[in-house]
Amino acid sequence: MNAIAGTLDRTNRFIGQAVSWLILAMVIVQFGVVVMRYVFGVGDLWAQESIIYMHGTLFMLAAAYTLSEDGHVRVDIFYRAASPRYRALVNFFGSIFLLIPVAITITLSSWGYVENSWRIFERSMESSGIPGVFLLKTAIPMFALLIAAQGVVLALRALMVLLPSRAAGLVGGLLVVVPCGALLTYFTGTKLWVNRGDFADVGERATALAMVLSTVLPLIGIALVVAGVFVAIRGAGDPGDAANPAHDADISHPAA
Amino acid sequence: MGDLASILDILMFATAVVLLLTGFPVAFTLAGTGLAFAVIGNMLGVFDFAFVNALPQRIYGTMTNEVLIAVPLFVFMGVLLERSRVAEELLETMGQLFGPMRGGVGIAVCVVGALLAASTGIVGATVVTMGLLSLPTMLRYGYAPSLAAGTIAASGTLGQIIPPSIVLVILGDQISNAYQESQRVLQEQAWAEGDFSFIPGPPVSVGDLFAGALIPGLMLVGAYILYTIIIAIIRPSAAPPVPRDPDNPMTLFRVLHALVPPIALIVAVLGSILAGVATPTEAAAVGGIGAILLAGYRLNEAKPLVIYVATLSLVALLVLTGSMDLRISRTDIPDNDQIGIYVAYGLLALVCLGLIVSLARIAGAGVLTSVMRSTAQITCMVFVILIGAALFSLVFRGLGGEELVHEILTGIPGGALGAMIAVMLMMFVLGFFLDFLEIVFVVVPLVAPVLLMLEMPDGSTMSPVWLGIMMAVNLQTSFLTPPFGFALFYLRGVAPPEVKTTAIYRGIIPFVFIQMLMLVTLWYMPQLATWLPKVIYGD
Repeated sequence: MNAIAGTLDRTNRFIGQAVSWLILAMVIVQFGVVVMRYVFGVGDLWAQESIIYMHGTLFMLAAAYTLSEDGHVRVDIFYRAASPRYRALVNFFGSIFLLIPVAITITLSSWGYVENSWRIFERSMESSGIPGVFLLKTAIPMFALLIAAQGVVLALRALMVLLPSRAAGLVGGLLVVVPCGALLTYFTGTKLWVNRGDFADVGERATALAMVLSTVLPLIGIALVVAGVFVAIRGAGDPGDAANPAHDADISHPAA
Repeated sequence: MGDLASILDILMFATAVVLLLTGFPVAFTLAGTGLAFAVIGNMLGVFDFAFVNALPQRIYGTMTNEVLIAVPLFVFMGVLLERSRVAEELLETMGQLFGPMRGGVGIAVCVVGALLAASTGIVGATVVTMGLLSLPTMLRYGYAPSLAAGTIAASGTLGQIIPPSIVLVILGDQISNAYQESQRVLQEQAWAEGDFSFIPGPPVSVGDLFAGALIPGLMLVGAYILYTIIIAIIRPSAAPPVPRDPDNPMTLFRVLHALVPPIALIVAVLGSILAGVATPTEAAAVGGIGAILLAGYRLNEAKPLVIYVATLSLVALLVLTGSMDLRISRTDIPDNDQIGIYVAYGLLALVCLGLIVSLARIAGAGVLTSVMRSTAQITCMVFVILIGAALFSLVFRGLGGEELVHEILTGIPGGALGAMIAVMLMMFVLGFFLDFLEIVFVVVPLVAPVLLMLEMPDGSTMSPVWLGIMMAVNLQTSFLTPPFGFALFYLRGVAPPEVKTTAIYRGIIPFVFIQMLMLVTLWYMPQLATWLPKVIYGD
């Protein structure tokens, strides 16, 4: 179970840390736009729009990483002084009943929205803008999937604090990992894999990406189901670092 | 359906508050509660799930909202300045400068709080830094613990009200939407009555709110300083003088070294916004560049030449732009201007060189990665709450919450002013449990359109800028008020154990009164908030 949580966690951390560099690009490009406009009197639509793209991508794809760093603000009047057990309870039930359902709802409700955008390879409203609105919109279900994955991590780590290894494995494997994996397989399988032929008709540019996504996402789901069953049989494993996920950067937590 | 839906609405609000108190991250608690009540409402036949399906569009709207791009840029600037130890040096120098006066260190804390508010604007960090650096000094030289703690907590929260503050960017965006909404409804109502003379008010911008907050913010700083001086006079033992450090004499260079960089940044960022030249987003990018140069300078002061050259080039570029026509897309460019353009290219190259050197130094010191990550995390925190609050408010509206709020607010005796007092009280109480983000994202979109439609005693409608500033000062007050104020928690976290929690509470109470006095003053003199925006941006 540590391995599952660790893998999902590392993936999210990698993605979040990678997109965090977009901030620097945003500052520099925005400064460039300012200089070009106010000094040389020229504007560039691509530069202007690229800032929006970077901004949107940044906070959508780094949201799960922020959860991994416990950077999402909590009302911690009671939480701060509470026992590890209380915290684990809050995190377990919060993930299962609040976070993961919300992520699933966002995925489901955004699916048609994003699909329509892909069908016409939606471009910018301006004719000379960046022709990638469909990609930007794809960040919405991506955000939801990544957040859901991080919710699973949070729930599993909480379980390892709450229960002994065998029980945690059984509960976490059968009640958390297997359902999430099955849901992902079913959903992406019926939506993406079955209809993957459609992408070939629409156009070539993004077809490759679509093919990769429609293959990889159901496969991840299957892998999760298998791993969940395996964990349920074997127990949660060493809870060693479970209570204390790695924090490799010094974070000054934000203002209230 | 009316009654059942209203009950669900109220129940939803109550459930959200209870669940928030458990300590699960706010964004997901709000969204999850909303979702649960959407399902319940749907089962009871009083909620149409189509409201939830509007969420992706809302999210996309947030992703492409150009005003909110200012948020990550300002966060970046603040985090970088924080890492450049600007705050530490300011506190040290100002403390030494004012120290020998009675109450001097207290005044220094107020001044530094204001300067940091106008540059970094990160409240938690400011309270913590001042608590770590100034509190021990003040205690060692015999300041009353309550006075020291109160001054630090209050000055540290100035970042919320003194522009450019992230609170004001977000509040400005929400108020602007609410105002547009209220004007649309008013116009529809007027048209329905056959009155076609209604003209919707001009849109409100974040710049308006920045300008509006400036005078009240500075007045608060002034009031804090005045209070410290009064205490120093009537209770000299509570605010004794602090001798200067003989080994480290005060020189003009030290004062300038500490003061010039933050002030230059403030002038550049605030100046360009308040001059009506740049949008907050553009100014934030310039501030970010300035912060990079400053950090590059601070990291290797033995070799300041590149940074000086880059900074001077930036200033020269500005002067050149002001004095010559440098537009390059003209068909016919006079020789003089052409030379100017080449010079501008050269200056720009020097700025870029300075930036590259600075970034290399920041990266070399190993700070760049952590700045990126902190900025990304704070940005995500803000925007994910926005998403969670969006789902919550969609469900709230789907259950007829808007009519409910409208009914309640218009039912309060006293018209617009009565409703305003009720809203302010509610926000003040909510500020005890919730962060400003949740309040601004959930409460403001619900109440502000109604408030802005209600008639004031003189028959006009409320000024949106005034409403925004009142809300901002109100929230700041609520963060200072014992026993739940956030600023007090931050300070408690870093204050030495001999400072009792009751001392912190006692010390902050006079400042809470100052805040309330400010609110009352604003109430009777709305011009304090509305005058400057009018002068700058016209009516």
